[in-house]
Amino acid sequence: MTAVHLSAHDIHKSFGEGDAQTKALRGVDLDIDRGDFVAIMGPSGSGKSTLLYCLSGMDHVTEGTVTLHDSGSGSVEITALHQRDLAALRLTRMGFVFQQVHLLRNLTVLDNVVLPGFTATPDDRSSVISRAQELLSRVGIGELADREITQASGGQLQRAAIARALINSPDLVFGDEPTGALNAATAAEIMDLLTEVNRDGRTVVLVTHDPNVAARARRVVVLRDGVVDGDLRRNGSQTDDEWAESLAGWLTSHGT
Amino acid sequence: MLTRMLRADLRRTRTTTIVLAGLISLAALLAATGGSVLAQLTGAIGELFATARTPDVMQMHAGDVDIETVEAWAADRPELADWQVSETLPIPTDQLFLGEEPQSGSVLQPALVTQNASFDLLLGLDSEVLDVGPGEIAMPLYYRQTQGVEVGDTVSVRLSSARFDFTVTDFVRDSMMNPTFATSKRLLISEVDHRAIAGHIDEPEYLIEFLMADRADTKAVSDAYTETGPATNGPLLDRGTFFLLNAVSHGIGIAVLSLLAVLMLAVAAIALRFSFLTAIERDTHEIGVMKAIGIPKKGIRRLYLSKYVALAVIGGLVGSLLSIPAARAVTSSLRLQLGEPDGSWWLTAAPILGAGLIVLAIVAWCALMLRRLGRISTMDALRATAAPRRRRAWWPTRASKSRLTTSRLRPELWMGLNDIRRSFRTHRMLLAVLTLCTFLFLVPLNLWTTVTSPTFITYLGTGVADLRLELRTPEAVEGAPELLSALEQDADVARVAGFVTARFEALNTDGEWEQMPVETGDHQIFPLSYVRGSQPDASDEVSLSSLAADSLGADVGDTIALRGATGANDVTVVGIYQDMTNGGRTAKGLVPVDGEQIVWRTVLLDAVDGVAPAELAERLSTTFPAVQTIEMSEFADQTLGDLIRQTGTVATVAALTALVLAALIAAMFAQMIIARDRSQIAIQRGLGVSDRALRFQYLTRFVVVLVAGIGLGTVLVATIGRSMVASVIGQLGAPALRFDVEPLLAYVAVPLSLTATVAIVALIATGSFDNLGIDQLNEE
Repeated sequence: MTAVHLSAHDIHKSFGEGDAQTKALRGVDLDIDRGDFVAIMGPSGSGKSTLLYCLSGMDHVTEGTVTLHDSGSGSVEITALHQRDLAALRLTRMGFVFQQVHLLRNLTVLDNVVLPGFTATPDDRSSVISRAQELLSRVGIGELADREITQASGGQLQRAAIARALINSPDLVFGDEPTGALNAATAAEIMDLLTEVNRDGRTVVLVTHDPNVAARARRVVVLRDGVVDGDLRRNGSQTDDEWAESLAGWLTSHGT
Repeated sequence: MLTRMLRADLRRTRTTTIVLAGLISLAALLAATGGSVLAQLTGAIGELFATARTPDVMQMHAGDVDIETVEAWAADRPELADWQVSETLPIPTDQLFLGEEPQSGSVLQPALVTQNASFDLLLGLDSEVLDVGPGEIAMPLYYRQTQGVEVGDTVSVRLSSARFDFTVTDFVRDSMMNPTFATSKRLLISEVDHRAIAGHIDEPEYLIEFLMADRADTKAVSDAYTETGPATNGPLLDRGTFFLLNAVSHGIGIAVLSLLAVLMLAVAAIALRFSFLTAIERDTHEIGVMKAIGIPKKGIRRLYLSKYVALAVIGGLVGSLLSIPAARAVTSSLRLQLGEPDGSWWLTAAPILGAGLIVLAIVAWCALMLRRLGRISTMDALRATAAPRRRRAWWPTRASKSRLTTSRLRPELWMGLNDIRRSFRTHRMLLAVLTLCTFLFLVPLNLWTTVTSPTFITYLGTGVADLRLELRTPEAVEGAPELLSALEQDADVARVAGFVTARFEALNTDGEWEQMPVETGDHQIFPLSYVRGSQPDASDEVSLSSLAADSLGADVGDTIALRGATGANDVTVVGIYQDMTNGGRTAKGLVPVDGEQIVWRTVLLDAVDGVAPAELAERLSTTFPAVQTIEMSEFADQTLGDLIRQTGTVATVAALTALVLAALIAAMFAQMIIARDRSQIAIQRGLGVSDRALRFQYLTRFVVVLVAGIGLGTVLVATIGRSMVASVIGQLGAPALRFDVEPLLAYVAVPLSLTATVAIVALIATGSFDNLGIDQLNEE
């Protein structure tokens, strides 16, 4: 039996106050298995990005709990953590890839990748550096390590962002529309990389509105008006094409 | 959309906006106050000259005057409306007593006069034409301001042949001789007393005065009188000179105000530029949208300009309003000396003009900056989410290869340093202002520690000893030999030297004889410090104070003519020293002194080891009551007490200003830099970099810039600051002034207080990054 990695229980999230209040999440329950590949979909304003940020502890929930289950040291309730502990948790146990690459402009490609590594393990810089170089080679931009980020293309930068997300060897990787700003060919390459990351045993959770991206996942959750509207898992016996086809039909039935 | 953006901008940049408005207000306040003082000064002088009917040309003359020849000379000149000859009775300063205090130390040349009939009127404090009765005297305002003379005090003239006592009934506002710079002072007495005293004065002096029908001819009349006038033994002055003399003594205040206004304007301009660039950078995408939908460049420019114009106008208004009470406070001495100005439109217009200039300068500066908007292309602006323009790194050498990967520094420390290096232009403003603050803090402080230091005596034309005894009254001067022999035998006294200061005159570069008190005695026991040369060792040698040397155009090795009661002698200048006492023009020599010339005597002495100078001073005061005994440490305070107190006040005000300015700019800088870097902060927070590490990063930036600013400022103080102060203090007699720096104060307390101020502001500003999450960044 597979273990639950991350679970959300009845989470609510509102923005604003009084009349101006909007409810982005209205009671979401979700268990994500260790090593799973989950795509969160839904129309604009359905709350999918908000859910991702609440799951990763980047945003506070208004109500409800999010729990990170650890195979070794027990469970951590993310929603109860102090800011400082949340930061440490994100640094060591989670990786992030965003639509906008969000690299630091005053650093080189390699420096951007090593920064979270240095912050997490300040005493072992040489191994961080060699890991960063290895990761950059793995995502295919090893030769760009010393470049300024202004000297790289969008696709190359997204690869660097994936390398950065993996520098502390997290077992949970989040992606917020990681291919949203890329052309189809580059997007496919980035998804190949993320699939590989998942094959290494990491849990991947990403938000997307692209059915081709969602087809790489093994589970698709559809959100509508702040609640889970549908949840489809890939059958182990399905081929890629069968899964893509059934997913397309399922998504159409859910109006996505 | 425009107003919405403007409102959003104001909300986002509240601190910046307030600081900018404050800086502009301050600049406007200073400029408006300067304008107001200028208007009041010219207005008051104009009013004073009109009421007093100030002469257009005035010849001072020592010696007899044949009134008829003057009348004949004037009769030939139709351009003259009126003329008069006024007799003045010069009183040697040691014969003029305020109460029981002789004025012997004074450099002034007081003279008794009567009220004139038709013009050159001596006015009272209500600008009324003064009239004094027998036994009454109206003293120049100078004595009220500097000596604390009050109505009802007794002033006596103690000539060798007679003594006259007067009661002070009023103070004179003298349109020609009011300013401190004018050493001639007119004391108004009645005709009766004037006649009585005139009998005892051998050499009265005369003021030959002319009033013009048409002022355009003043120069012609001055020239003609110099060439063909009947009595010309003395300087000839005209209305322009009187105006200048009156204006200069208050003009320094205007100069300081203008200088400060320019300084504040510069700070405001730097701050504005930074705020503007931050806004443009932040709004580039919106600008692109506006351009894309066809809003003309002019409209976009108006949006930004309107904010800054509003700021400038509000600042100008606030500054103008505040300048009303400020100008009143600043001009209190001016109004006392010159009276109330006439109520012309200029009085209202000048401060508005001053503040207006600041507003215009700010608006022009903003318009200039806004040209940058035109250079942003629509597509560039829309693509603003892509990487920013690359600027060349600050130092293009190997240092630019610095990498986090290869550095041994803590990541947050390296990040902070890297940000300064990569975007030095951003930090330039903070650096400039902190350098300025250090300068503003240290210069007056160093001056203050200098004037209060024990070695400051070096600038007062005296050797360093424990005690100084002053023998000023005739009785004390006469008893000097006995005093000296008593002191020489005193067991508590280690060394003693007596000096005689006698009245001499020296020929100056204008070919005129000017007063030059010469101090004679053994100058080797308590040697002075000399700027050049050394002490006189023979009767034909003198050393001069630097101001005396300037005035006589003499340097070491030159020969000057010195005239005493026994006639004129040529003496060689062997040394130049600094002296800020007695107007700074003094000499030291070994010249033979005739009893009649003696102005005063002084004695310097050291106590033997183990005897406290204070106790010795107390004992000597009791034993020799006619002698004024002071400790050397108090001498400077007694001589230049006003200057020292003023320096203290200036140092305090400057220190507070520097700290407030540093705090304001640091607050503004922090807010802007965080607004500018919000994506960078959000990314790092999203990655899991702790707020503490982020705060460390930003503190690093502040502290590094602060340390650089303090270092730069301190270097500037030691170079430019010192020569600036020396050039001002040089006017007072100490051109070779060296800062006597109190290291603990200048190099520890000042940097610490600036650091603490900036660090506290930076800590508060970086206290919460809570609203900077990557989720919010994506929503924008």
